[in-house]
Amino acid sequence: MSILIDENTRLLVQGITGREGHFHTARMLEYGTNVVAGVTPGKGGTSVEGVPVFDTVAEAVAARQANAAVLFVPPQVTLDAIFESLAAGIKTVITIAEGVPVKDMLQVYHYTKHLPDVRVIGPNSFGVISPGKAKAGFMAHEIYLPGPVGLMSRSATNSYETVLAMTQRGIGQSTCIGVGGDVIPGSAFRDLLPLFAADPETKAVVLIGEIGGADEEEAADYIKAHMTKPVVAYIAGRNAPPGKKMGHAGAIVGASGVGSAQSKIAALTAAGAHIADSPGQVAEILAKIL
Amino acid sequence: MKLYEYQAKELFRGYGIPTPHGHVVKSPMELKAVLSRVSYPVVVKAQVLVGGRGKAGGVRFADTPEELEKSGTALLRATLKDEKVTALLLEEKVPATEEYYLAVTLDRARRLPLIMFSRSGGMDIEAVAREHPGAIARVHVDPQMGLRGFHLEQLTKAGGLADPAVKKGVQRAARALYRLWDESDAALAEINPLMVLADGSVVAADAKLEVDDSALFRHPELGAFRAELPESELEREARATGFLYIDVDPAGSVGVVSNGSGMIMSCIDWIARHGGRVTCALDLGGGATADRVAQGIDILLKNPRVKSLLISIFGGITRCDEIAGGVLKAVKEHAYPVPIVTRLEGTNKEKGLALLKEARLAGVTVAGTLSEAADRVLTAQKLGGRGA
Repeated sequence: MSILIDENTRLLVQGITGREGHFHTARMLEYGTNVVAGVTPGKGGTSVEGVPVFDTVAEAVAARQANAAVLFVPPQVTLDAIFESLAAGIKTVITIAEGVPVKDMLQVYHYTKHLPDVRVIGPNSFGVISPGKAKAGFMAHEIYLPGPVGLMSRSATNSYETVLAMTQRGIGQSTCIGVGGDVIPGSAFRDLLPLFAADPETKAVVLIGEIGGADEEEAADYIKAHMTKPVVAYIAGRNAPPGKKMGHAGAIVGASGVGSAQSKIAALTAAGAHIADSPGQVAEILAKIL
Repeated sequence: MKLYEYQAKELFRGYGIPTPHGHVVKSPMELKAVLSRVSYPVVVKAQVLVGGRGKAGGVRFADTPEELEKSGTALLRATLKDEKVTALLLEEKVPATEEYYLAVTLDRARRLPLIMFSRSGGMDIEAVAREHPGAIARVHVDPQMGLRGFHLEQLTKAGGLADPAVKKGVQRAARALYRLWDESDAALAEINPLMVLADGSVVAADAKLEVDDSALFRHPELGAFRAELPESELEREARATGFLYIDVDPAGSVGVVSNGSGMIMSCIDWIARHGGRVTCALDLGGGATADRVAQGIDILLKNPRVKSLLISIFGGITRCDEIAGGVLKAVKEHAYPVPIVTRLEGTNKEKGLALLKEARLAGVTVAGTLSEAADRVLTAQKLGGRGA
């Protein structure tokens, strides 16, 4: 098993005719992902890499029974695209765009919070990959290896580092999720932990966090109360200066120290998580506990 | 994007929030021209975006045109906490009976808009929050429900307001501030102090507004303000070229070029672990070509504080051979006086490393891991960096 996507996923690509959408559709197909449809308004009836294109998500779902969507659309239209997929009945919506307004994701959060079977991932996400089964996103899939570790990360580069170190040690991954570096992610660590906890193939979970917000602290509360599987955490930004945005919209420590790496590490340590000082050390710790 | 006080007040007035009568001047000439038009005593406020302006001497008072000219001219030449003063707001002094605090922000953890009110305004609100958390009333608003009358009633009740006229004034200001926050995609809208006058009416003596950069496409009218905001030449140049430049630490000496903010943070951490400090960083974003990489290196090395450069890439969309090509191009075109350490991982890593090895450029070394790269970039700096 895996979570969110697998070999049976019928993936839809919103924005498939765009530069990124087209390129990564080819890469996803190359990986063996079951991409069944694409959507670009006005381009219905054409095809991209052999994948039929529709004008609307509803048409794509009706004709091709798509059940998950990955969005390669600009941030300005991301809110519309997410709602279009949800309105067409798609339950798993993966959003790549960086620079989506905070208020738009506030709206998505409140729309979806009472819909337990709906899962929005991202924005500012590298996507989701279940190695050997499917990928929906843009990660360099060559470095992934099927295996027992679930991973979720606010940063793409730090998750690649970690996955590479794991794969080099022969430690594979069940599902890797780009939570995204935004202020309000569609799904936070706290929302994904129960899915990993319930997945029989996942034996341990890696959490890659960073400064800003309290998502790591919330995850710590859940880990303390519910997780029986080991959690290994790496938090980036220990030496980031307060008050400065470190690129990700969500990565900022308040002037009074709120959202610092130290506070996150303290909470996760108290919850029983293993703390790694670097992505490489994540793999070392996993080698010992698995 | 943080706005200047005078810009924020312009928006506040549009929402019916009263502000003191004032003039904005941007040069000693403009200052001279208004000396006879302002009413005395006048408050002279330096327009800067750094906090703690008052304590840093950025707010002064003048009773006569002579005094105003003197302190205004001095302020226009001043630098407050590293920020150059380029404009002054000259305002009538408000005869206040009390000073309150009012703000709307996003409670990120609860994912809800939050209105805060306190009768302990006019001072450092973070200190108030620390020492007397009970002195700040907090009301969350469900955005699906929108701001309702009961929210405002809760706010003023928890804030301990009894006088009906004052309560009405604060509630009206809170409603307007919330609407402004909501409609302008703000991260923070704050009034500190909110002055209460003898007749119970309220006036926003100060104004803070921070807008979500990602939402600026919806607010072309705010884009016009941007041109007036302080931005270093390098930030401007990087933004114009589509890169993100981050001024990390004025006391640092290492520059970092990387792809992605997570990687930049990890580089800062590794360099700190090896005893150094990063001064600035440039995010190439995804999929940079050789030309773009060379351009990025060039921008970062214009910062004279950079004594050695770390280029760390984990290629996903980005290809390591393009990165290596960019390094070669940049170094060949400019004789940089700083050592460069490159660390490549991910897509086309072998090709990239081979390119660098073949070229054998003086001053460019290759590291295998991030830890090794951090160590080398600091050692290189000690041995032969700019200014060493």
